[in-house]
Amino acid sequence: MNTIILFSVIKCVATLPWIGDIVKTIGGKNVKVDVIVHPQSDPHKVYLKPSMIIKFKKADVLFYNGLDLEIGYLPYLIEKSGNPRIMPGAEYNVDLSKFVPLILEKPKGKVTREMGDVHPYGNPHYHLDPLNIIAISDSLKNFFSRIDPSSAEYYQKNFNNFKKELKDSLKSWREKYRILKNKKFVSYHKLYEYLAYRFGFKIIGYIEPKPGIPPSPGYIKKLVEKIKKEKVSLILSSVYYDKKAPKKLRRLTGINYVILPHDVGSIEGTENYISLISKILKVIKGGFELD
Amino acid sequence: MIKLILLSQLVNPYFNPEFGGILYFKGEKITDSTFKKQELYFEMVIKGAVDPYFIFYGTFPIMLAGVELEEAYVNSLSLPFNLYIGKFKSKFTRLNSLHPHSWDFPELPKLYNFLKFYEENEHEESEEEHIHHHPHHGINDIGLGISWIAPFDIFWEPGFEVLKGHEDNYDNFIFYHHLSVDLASSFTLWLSPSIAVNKREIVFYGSEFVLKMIEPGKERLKGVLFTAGFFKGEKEKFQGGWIDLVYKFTYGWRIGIRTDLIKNNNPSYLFMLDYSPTEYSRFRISYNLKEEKIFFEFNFSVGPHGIHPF
Repeated sequence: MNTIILFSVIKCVATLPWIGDIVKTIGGKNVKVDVIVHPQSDPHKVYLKPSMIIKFKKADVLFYNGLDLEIGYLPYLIEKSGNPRIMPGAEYNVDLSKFVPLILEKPKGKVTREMGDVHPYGNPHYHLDPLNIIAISDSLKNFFSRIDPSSAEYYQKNFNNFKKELKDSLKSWREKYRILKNKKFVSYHKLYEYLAYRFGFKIIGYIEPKPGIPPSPGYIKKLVEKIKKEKVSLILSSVYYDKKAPKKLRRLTGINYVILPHDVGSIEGTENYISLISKILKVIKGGFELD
Repeated sequence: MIKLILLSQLVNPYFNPEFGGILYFKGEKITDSTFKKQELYFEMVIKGAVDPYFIFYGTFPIMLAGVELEEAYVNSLSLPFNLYIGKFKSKFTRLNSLHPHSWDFPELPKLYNFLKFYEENEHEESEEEHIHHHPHHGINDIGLGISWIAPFDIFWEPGFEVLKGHEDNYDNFIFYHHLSVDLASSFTLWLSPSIAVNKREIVFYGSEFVLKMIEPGKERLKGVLFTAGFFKGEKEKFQGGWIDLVYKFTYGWRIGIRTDLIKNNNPSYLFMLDYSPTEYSRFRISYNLKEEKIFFEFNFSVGPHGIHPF
């Protein structure tokens, strides 16, 4: 498919804030990006607003996370928009997970709801691995160059700059946060697995007994024993989770908890992708250095 | 801006239809007596693209007495407007288009007894019979609808529906507008003024109002949904409305109150408390103060992940 479109400005709609940020970084002045999910929202619990439909209707291109993370609202918005450019399978319906080299936790057996809200195609929170983001921006550069070849050089330049900046940051993070290596953490949801994989720390337990299921008192009791036995350094939660459970764990174990950003703009100091990762690492390190 | 899109790019229907279902039970009892009415059905839901141009939606409640065709219609996918043909629930209010298992209360507001084009068959249901018959809910008929989303910054979707009348004539019309605006990141307002017409005669007109308050980041824990509707009948004279207030106060738990207001009647109140361990199951108890009726409901869904609608 080699359709060439002559655009004045490419109108993009992105589901999540980090996607909007990367699209803007590569597309630069040639793109206008509408992000539909609020940075503080729980990406699993997005409620539809009719205003989102308008953004989908007007878009030339749709970018989304994929791996069923947006299953609760994306199919409806696409259908309701009646926008043939972004229908499933159309060229401008862009599932970013297709460009990701590393997908963790792909279920081997059959997935059922008994397991909670398990994502059947693997852990969808791949954006917290910077190497995945480099692969995505490379593909975005190719995508924009294909649909808008007259600016191919511009996209290449944006990509080169971003790649260099992210690679340099990764190098300095690895240096600066060496202390995280082999540390053990408990987290609320399976949200930080890709970060753990990249920076060599371990997440040995979850506040949720199963994805999307809140903990029972019995489960908390078992988790307290595990935290003590495994010598966990810190409990990781996110802005949209209830603070009750992490507070209770802190009281029962003496282990501190921190509230981490999960997306661009979710807390102060996370204005773009690089500052997001930087902030997460800084908050984690700050969390156990307090003790 | 010039756009060239090859038709071949659009030929990509979704694979196989999606199947899902909801098991729903409602028991109704007058205080201090046995169950008066019971309803149990498994609502089968089928959805799938027909071709690049149409998507099919069907809901078939399976009861002890058999299967009913509640909704079966196709919706256009790639027209500049939205066309729907078949048997469908009218979109003149948000509430009317919802299926009973997704209502916030066990019944429709009392005013819905008046919001119709004609009297349904004068078949008096015995109370035990209820378990075999899926009661009709709101305006739901065979017909055709067209709506169009305006390319503005405010959501505005005018539409009209032509529905089958009493004697198989397609002479019932509904004209509606869906309007919505985000007042802030946590406040969304929705209005749907509408008018129902039969043979050039106004049947009823009015509007539904919805205000949804969900703070980003607090979706799991808190939320307020305010819904109200006010309608006036011209053919059969009536005037009235309802006000629903539903408050999610902690994970999985909600309380709510409905006030039914009908001119020349005292207001009646319906209270509800429900608990959803996950978004796939729900238990609810409700109490109608005036009629001294208690309702018990449960709701379990299987199949593909549903939509969190507005």
